[in-house]
Amino acid sequence: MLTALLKTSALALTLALAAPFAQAAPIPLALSGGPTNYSATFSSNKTAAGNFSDQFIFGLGGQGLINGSLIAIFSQANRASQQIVFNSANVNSLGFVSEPDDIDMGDVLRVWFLLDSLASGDLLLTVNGCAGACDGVQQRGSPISASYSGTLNVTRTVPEPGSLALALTSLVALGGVGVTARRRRL
Amino acid sequence: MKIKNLAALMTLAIACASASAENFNTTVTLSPDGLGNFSGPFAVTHLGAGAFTDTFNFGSFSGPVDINGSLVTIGTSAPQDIDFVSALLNGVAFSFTKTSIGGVFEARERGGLASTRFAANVPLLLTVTGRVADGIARGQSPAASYSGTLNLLPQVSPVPEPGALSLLLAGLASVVWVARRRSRAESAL
Repeated sequence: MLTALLKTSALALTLALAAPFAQAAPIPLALSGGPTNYSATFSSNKTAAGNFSDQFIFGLGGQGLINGSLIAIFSQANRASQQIVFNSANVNSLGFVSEPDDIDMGDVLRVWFLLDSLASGDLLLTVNGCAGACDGVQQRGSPISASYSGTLNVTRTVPEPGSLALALTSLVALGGVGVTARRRRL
Repeated sequence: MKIKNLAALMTLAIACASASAENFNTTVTLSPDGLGNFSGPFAVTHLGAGAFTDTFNFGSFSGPVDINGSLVTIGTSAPQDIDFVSALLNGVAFSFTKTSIGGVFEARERGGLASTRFAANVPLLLTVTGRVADGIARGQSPAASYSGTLNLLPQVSPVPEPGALSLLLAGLASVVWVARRRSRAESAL
């Protein structure tokens, strides 16, 4: 009985230790609009200090041009409670780029943008960063109230009439070569 | 002939002015951290072209609050372009920075509200105005988004309540009274 209890608590402890490193399941994002232009927003609210790696998943169903934005604000006096530090933001291997911090009186505005990039298929947006003071002094898990948000745009790319015509022409030409070769053999 | 042109121009002007995007009215619940502070994101996706006035209602708080906020959008083609005109939280304006990408004017826009104190028990209403998909080609449908965040820190009331004030006065009076009694007793010796 006691051994069972000890075993269970040992298991619980192992799970508790493992938990901070576990990755939450990606959050599905719904793209609105169509048939050519789509848009979506994403966000996260942080109530505990520490590192985060947030994932958002969305499908392109073909090829498209993608761009995006990411933003957060904090007051320097309340850095320990409001700050979001972005370490990286990527859609698959396409990286967001940081802008210089905007400082207005005691407030710091942090902005990242993803400029037009070609992507296709299922896409995973990953935002890596830290919430709170992020100074190694503040205890991980301390209560904080910080948020970030962002937008994504997708423009579905369809083959241009010119390239479509070229593809058709080459198909016809190939067919012609085949027919000639067959005739010669006969 | 001239009159005809003028009439045509006026019809066109009226048609342009009436092109209007959808207006969104959203109630936003900010998340508490257990220490009395709040934070939360908000966002909108517009699928119609033209002018918009969106409102976000954050409710009211029992004490004065310090609030800062952010707003962002990107649009590298007309269908995904949002041009902010203004953003006001109970009349206090966000300041905007707008930059272009390539030939696209004001493709990136960001707005910030520096920490501002708001009175207790006043509903907090953010009003965002702007335009969606300016210059969009015929037959194209817009899909444009913006998003933002708001942080809220409750502040202690700067004016003490009458009860606390009278307690403070009574305490001061008794200190003075004790001090005087002591100095009298000392001079009597």
